[in-house]
Amino acid sequence: MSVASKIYRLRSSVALVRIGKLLELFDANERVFVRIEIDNDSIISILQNFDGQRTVREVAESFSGVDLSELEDIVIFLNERFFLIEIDRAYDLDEYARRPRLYNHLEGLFEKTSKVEDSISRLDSKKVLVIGLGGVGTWVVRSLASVGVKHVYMMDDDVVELSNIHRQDFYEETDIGLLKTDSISAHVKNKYGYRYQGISTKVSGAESFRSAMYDLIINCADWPSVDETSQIVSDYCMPLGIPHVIGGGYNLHLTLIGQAIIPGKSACLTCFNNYFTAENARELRGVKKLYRESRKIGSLGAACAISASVTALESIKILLDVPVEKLAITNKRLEFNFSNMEFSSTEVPLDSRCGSCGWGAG
Amino acid sequence: MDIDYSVLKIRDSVDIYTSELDEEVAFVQFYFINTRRKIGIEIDKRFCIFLAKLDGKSVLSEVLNSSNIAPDKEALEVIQFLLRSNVLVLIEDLDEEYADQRYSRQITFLDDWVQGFKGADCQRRVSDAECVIFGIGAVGSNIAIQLVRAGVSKITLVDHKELCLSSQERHPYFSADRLGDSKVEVLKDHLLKINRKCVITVFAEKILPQSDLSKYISDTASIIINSADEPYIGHISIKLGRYVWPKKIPLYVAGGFDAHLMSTGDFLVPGESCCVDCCSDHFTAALKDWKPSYKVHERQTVDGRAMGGSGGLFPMAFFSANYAALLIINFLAGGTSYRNVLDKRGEFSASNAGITWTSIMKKEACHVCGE
Repeated sequence: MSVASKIYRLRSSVALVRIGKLLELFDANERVFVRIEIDNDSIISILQNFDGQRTVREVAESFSGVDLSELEDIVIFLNERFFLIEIDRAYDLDEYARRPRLYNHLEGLFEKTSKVEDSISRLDSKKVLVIGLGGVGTWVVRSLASVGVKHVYMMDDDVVELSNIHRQDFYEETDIGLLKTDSISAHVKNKYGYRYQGISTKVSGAESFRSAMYDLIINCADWPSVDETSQIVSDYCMPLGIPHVIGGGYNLHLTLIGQAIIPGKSACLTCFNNYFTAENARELRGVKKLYRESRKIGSLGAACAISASVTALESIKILLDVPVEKLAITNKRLEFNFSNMEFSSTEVPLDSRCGSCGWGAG
Repeated sequence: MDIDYSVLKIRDSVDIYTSELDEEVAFVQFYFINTRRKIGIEIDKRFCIFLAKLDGKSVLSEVLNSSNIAPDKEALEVIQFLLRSNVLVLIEDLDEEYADQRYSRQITFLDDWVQGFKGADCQRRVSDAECVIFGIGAVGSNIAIQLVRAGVSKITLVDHKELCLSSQERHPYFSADRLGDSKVEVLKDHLLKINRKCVITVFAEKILPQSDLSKYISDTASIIINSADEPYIGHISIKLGRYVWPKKIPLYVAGGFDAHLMSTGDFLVPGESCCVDCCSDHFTAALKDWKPSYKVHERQTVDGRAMGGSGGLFPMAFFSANYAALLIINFLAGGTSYRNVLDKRGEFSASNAGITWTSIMKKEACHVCGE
């Protein structure tokens, strides 16, 4: 089908600004802009005529002196950058009314309404495992429920304690003593109507994952250590090609934001470990670290939640099949500094010789 | 310090790295893993053994003895220095901190984060604070929840809206059986389940140009938070900012809305930052030549919402809320980290995971904040 007979809509989150001979388009959702040089003074009005009803030809014909093929070129350019969305399928309006912000968000990431809708319907069948229901895991589960992820499995064998309440979501004073999985399942059922399944064991090895084939595993568990649980998750996920997000934001890793790993497409846990072992070896030549046992360092709800919010947003993007180049915490170790309230990051490239990455490629 | 009774421990949040300089001297670096503060000292190598043997159980004289260190004035000065620097802690002080089991982990965090004060004192300040929140949508409600979880015991909530179906997408206090109820009542009940002792005052009211703010804000308030973004966050902020500035009460104008889905917000602290008028005028001037036009297609709306419009997901608003809550808790606890972000506004990018900052310039000779 030619571009002329297609229908587009200028997204209402896109601002049009005339700056001299330039036209700026600014997407308020993604905070990205493009500028194009254009000498037609009615360009704003022309673009605003893309109302999701009329074809490109009809829009061109309603203005005098507009060259159809030039307009087609502009439409293609703006559609590729998600300012204009192609309406190749009308949304189910009841579904839209239930989660308008999710639809709106996705319009900034896909070029057609059919892709937006397909991404959401795939989301509805996806299975996610969240391991560890503490300062990060609880907020991640909350985020998944809020955007409407229906199939969530939660692994944790702890009970709710008084000292959890200051920093972990869902738990109320009357939940103290309940299994964390039972407490959250009940709250999610009441508030959102979804049946989230609890698995009240610790993550211990590949056998921990026996029941379901997951589309995403998010590790927020620190027992026996973040490194060990992340390794178990990675060992399980890499051969199966399952995307996973590994720990950050709690206990000894409070400043760290978890890394997202898309097997075969982005740096894996082994790539990260190799990279940082080499880095640390340079820095710590001749230096010994004093070993100490059973440390419980401080924590604060809002601090864990900074890490949880970035982890959750990335997880949701992975579930929505957002292209890997639009992901933020792949190939990257992100840290948050509580002293100056700033982020810093280290790029870690995929190393296909790492011994682990080759698995997921096929 | 009585060396025959005192029991010392290295704080759990401190990593220790040692390297040999020569036969007798070692370089020891203390790294505070939460705040990334570092202290390095050159010291007699026997102190490395001493640090390794500090198990939080043996009395100081025993540990010194087994490390071959004489309990002389010099040794005690080193230990006092490490206590002052927060590397070591006396177990009796630690017991006092842990007496408050509910906030024990947070007190440990505050102890690191807020230098010069004991964690337990910081926690007391947070608990005694009185916060007033205008607007309890996705951002304001999450701030309220984090403050109450952190122990703030007095909160006032102001919002005129009712809970509706689309609140489910972003409001953690959403409850299907409370549809149509006033938002402040639903959030109040949610907060009381977190801490039944919290004193919560609610106003299901809309702030108008003629509203008398003394009704909502007492002169003893510790901080005011504005996240009421309709009709426009700037108008209510100016009204609030002008009212609280002379009373020396700070105002946090939260981010996380419209074109600022993951922004940090503006923290306006009397005597430290620019005032609300300077902040507002700065952005008006900066955007003077930037006249955007947005288009809402009438036939493409659902329940009054523009299709393809604002796309802020829960974790985005949640990011802004927590960034704000962290700064507010730091301020309430007596910390100084919040000062790093005064007079600037940050926008977190969801696609490259970093903050871009814009500096806010005070007006020259502003009669409010110029001095």
